[in-house]
Amino acid sequence: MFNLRKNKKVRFVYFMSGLIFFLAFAFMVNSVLAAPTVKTYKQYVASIPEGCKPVPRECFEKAVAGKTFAMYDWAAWWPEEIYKGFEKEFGIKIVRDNYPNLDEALAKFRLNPKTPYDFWLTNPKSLWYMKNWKILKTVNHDWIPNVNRYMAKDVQNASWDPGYKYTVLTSLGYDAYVVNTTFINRNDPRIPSWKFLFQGWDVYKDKLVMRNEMNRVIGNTLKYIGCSLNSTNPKELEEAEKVLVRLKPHIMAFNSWPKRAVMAGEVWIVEGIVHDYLSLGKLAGPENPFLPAYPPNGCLLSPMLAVIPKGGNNPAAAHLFLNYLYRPHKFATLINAIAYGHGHTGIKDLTDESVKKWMTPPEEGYREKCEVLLPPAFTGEGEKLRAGIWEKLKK
Amino acid sequence: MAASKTFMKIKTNLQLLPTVGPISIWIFLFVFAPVAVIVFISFLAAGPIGEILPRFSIESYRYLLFGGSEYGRAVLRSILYAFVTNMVCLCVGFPMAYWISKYGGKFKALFLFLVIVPSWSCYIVRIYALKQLVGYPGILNNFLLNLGFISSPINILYTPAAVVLGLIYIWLPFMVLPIYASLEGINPALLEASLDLGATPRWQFFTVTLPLTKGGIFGGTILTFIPALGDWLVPLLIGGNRVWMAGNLIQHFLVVRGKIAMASSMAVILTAAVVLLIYMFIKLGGEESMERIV
Repeated sequence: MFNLRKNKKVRFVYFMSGLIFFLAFAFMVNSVLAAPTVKTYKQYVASIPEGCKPVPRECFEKAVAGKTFAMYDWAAWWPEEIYKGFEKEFGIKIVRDNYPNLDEALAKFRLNPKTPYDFWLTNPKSLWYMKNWKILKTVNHDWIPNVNRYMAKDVQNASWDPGYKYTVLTSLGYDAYVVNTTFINRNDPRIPSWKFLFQGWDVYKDKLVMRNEMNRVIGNTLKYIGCSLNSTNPKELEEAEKVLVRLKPHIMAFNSWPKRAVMAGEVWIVEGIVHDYLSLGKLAGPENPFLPAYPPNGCLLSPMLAVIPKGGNNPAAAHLFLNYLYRPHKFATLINAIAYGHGHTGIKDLTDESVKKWMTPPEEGYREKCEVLLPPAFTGEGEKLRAGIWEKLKK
Repeated sequence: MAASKTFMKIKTNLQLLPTVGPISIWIFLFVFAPVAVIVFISFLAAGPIGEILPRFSIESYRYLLFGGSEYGRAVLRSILYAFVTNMVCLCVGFPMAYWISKYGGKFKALFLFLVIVPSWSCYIVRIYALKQLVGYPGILNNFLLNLGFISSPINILYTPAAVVLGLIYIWLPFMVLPIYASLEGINPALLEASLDLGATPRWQFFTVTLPLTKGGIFGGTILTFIPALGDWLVPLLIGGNRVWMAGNLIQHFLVVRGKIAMASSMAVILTAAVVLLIYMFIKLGGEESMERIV
């Protein structure tokens, strides 16, 4: 008999055998867990939920053969189950990359137009640049039957994508303001007008945070003075500048993500996409202290658009994903998590009541009063004038 | 004879190659090459929709230098903030280093460890730590409120003073260490000699200790002034982005406006200013300042 403790060689052999056995077992478990629910097109078609349609065979087979799907989107926004569900169902690994803001994401494409993403969640400004640089694929509408079925007609041929060629709308955000009713009386007669944000510092005591985004802040200021937020009129922009300069001493900070400060009570009023604060309100307790304000004369509308960059390797997976996302139950999961507005016609009964309250402006037809940022605001003279105002504001 | 000398020189250089070669390649690839790319882009023209055109142009430099006073103001503000940061770091860092060196005794290593340990954590984590400390309702405000010194929380964050405070907090250890190294390097015999010759402790400090730590002071100055000059995260997170430094302007050009050539030109101007400052510091502080940094 040999002594196990003393014989190093034997110990090593035992250790290695154990390790190999463990790795083989882990590999088998992983293979079973990671195996896609649908392996063939036939299985996929058979598994489609009621009311939904499958993508064509060509799209499915190309997407699955690609094995991975490169996605470029916001971090910690959409619920993880959307991504995990897709991976589980089709066995396609989603490789995610996140950006802190869309301007930074656009800068990445500006430096390398062939950046290999299959799917990018973006806004009209970036869309315009990408279209002009000719680095976007057109969406194949035959490959997204669920989108064709459920996407509202009024958002299909919208101002940001005339002809409905490059985008699929995923959500619609209203960029206005939110007040913390723990500190601010929700019955103040100026709420929800812009007047409260731009003149109500006697009430909010300089605890205002504006977004650190030039076009949005100047756009909403133009809206406050009764102009189009895409105005390029120097006089109107000069007026907007005066308003902002007057407001600056009452602005605590320019911060696009002030959620920590909002939760801490450091900030009482915040300019930004109103929907982002529902989740914070839920965290604050049973009574949501945050009140979304939809100014009666409209605000900036921020559509989130899915686009397919040309540099990607698996555009079929992008179509498969969009078709999957537009299944009513999946889309409801998304909207119940982010509380944004949307253009899906099939999830009315699947949406939580609290979310409905947040994502819907109080007035019918409010969307028509809102505007989307269009090229005159962020190109040429309009951009130059806005940059001048922004730079003066930061001096 | 001359040929033999040349041969020996080449031989010595070849012997040094295995040690100096890898670091030279590293410096070339990750320092000089990126700077060269930035300089190259800064001299390119920009198209109507922000694309870079392969055409020589000095338009970005012209725009930055003569286009508006805001840009010059941001650079001057950066220099001012970096200067104040540097002076405060020196005023706080020198006594700290002096005390550790002279009175630290067997706990010197522990005190140095305490100075260094914050810089082991991520830059952003340190900024958020400071925000928790001085923010609303932060530790400092709560402390002052509980003591009754203030009746409502004071607004420290999101002011120019907060930006300078943040820069000091981040860069202070980089001032303490070179000064400490200088102080430790002073020959005790020199200090004893000065006392023997009748110097008072104050006179000894100003005529012996301080001149002998000149290298450490200049080394610390380089290590704090230059990064503070180019910082953009502190004004963004602690200053609430209400006032820009030069780094924020570069970010604004590159990210918000998509003017890559202009952002590169601004970076080149800032780099040139930094190189000039390093040259001046080395001239004033001598080669010892560089040794302290290394």
